Amino acid sequence: MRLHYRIGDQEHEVEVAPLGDHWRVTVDGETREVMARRDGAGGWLVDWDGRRHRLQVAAAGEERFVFAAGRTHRLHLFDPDAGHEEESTDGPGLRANMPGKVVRVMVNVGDTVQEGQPVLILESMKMETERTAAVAGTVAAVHVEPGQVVAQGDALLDIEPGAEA
Amino acid sequence: MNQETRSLRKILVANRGEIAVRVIRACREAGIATVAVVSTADTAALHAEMADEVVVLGPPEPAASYLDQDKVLGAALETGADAVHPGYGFLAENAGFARRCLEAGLVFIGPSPEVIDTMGEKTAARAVMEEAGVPVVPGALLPDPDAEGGFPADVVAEATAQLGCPVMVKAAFGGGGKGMRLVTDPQAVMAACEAAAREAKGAFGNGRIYLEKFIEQPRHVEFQIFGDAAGNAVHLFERECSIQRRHQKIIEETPSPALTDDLRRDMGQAAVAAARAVGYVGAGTVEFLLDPDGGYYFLEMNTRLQVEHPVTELITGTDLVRAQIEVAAGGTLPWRQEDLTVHGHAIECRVYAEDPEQDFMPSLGCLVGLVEPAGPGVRVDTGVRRGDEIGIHYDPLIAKLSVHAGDRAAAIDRAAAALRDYAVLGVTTNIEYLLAILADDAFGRGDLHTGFLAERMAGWKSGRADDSVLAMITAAVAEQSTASVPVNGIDGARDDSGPWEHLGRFRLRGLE
Repeated sequence: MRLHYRIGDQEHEVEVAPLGDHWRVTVDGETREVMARRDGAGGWLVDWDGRRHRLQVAAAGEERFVFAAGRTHRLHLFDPDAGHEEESTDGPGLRANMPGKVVRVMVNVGDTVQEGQPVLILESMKMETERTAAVAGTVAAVHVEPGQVVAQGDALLDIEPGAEA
Repeated sequence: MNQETRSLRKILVANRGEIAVRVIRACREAGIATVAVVSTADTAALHAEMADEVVVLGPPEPAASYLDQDKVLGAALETGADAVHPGYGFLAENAGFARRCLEAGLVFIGPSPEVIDTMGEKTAARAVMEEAGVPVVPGALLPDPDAEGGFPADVVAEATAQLGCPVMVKAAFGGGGKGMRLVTDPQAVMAACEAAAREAKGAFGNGRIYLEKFIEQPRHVEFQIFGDAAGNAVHLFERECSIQRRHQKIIEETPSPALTDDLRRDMGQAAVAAARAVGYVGAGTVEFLLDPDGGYYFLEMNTRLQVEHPVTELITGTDLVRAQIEVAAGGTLPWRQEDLTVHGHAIECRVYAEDPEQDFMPSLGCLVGLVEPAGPGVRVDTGVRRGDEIGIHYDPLIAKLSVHAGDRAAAIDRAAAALRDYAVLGVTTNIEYLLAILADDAFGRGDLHTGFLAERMAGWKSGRADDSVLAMITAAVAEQSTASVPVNGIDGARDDSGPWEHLGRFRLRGLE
């Protein structure tokens, strides 16, 4: 079985094949054999890199969560043959990463912004978060106004990448 | 002294999440019926399912539900509750609400409205403490700003000289840091006062300012106190709460590594004096700042049960919620000072659904996987279960993980091991960040102060990139192993479990 995972902004290819009580796994071209089996309580035991690891795996839609020793990994399962998905990342535009209310918009259409410049303040869960421009460029569109309630993934503003001011 | 005792047969818990669960548990142990209140977002919440009755208050926004006094009181009266337990936050320190409870013939499980009022206002609280001989952080209340928003230069200069710099400029009637400034240059104090007064006037409608001595590298050490209507008052020792991020505590412990037996005795006596000074009934906390030389100063008093009460319960073997209920019913304190002793060491870690690498932004989502740690000396206070949603309306607290062990080093080991076993899948948590704090050398030595996190953990980064290959291998093997891709839930749960898993959270009422 060949699977594709996105972790953060990195994409990976993983292939697994069962070999009796072992597995042959290839991660981004590197192959090795690992011992992996379920434990009695819904988790996994994996012998890898000379050590025994205890992990939990859970799924929600296309997200896969893997937990081990206090660390949780978030993997996004995707099909490389499908069309390029709309990801709610800080591409040239800014999207709401959680539902909330727009407190203040600090830029106007036509303004030049630097990478990292604060452009908008969102309030959620009693906290104010300052959102910054991911790239330098010009503000192409502002989709929201102060007081507006936004949902996760909503477009906030668009930035046309360009030279810094 | 004759006391009116009142039988409490039914208590309404005016809160949600883990504290509501905590209070309901204590009521169940005491054989007292419980009423839970919920917003529409919480109808399937753990606290609702544990209670005997549930009243839906309204939509998720606290103002329309948990903070709506009319609705909460209405629920208490309609269900025939005898008493209301406010938990912490929400209406717990709202004197008006406490007053309305009393007027409606309900017992409010907490101190009197007058005490809540007095302790809620900084300068009033300080005045009471000074009267009682409790050391307070040296400070000076400035006269009202004049028509131009200014202050008399000589008054400001004298206060500054007396307190010394750096000095904290604070709003007398405010909170949340609004109006607060730290000034290091004596020449800059006047301008800071004027700016603070403007901010305070805008935020609270009152521009009254006071100057407070700034204590460098203070430790936050608070004492649990308890009083009853007969005038008895005790302290249940201290909690060190110096591990704070932006004034929010994330790790608390007891005993404090900084306290000698003498200091503990002195501060404990001061805390009890504070409680007696106001005739405190119920559970309360007196917060002190401890400076590096062992000087301690009253900071404020919290007239409620605190989030971090479990560590006190663990080292003293007490049940503070049960005691709150008994005292509120008119009973005397279950302990005298000489009955209370410290046994071992306890640490509490607050596990939040937040991302420490994204400025601790809340991480919203469904808890598709949740496995809590267990074992001797491990206590989990939580209000969530697997499958619950962490949403925008409330605090993203997943649980308070507390441990108890023979000494501090063993407690640190136990806390770290428990955190490593706390599997939370579906949201990002601060577990790794907590582990990093516990592993820190200075933390291990007990060298704590309120600037600890800002100093030692700034720019902390998760090491999860190192394990990402292992994560992918495991996810892929799990994917291949299941007959069909699981839509939700821990992989393998469907295959490994018997029929019980599919019943979900089915409970037979009355048979628990």
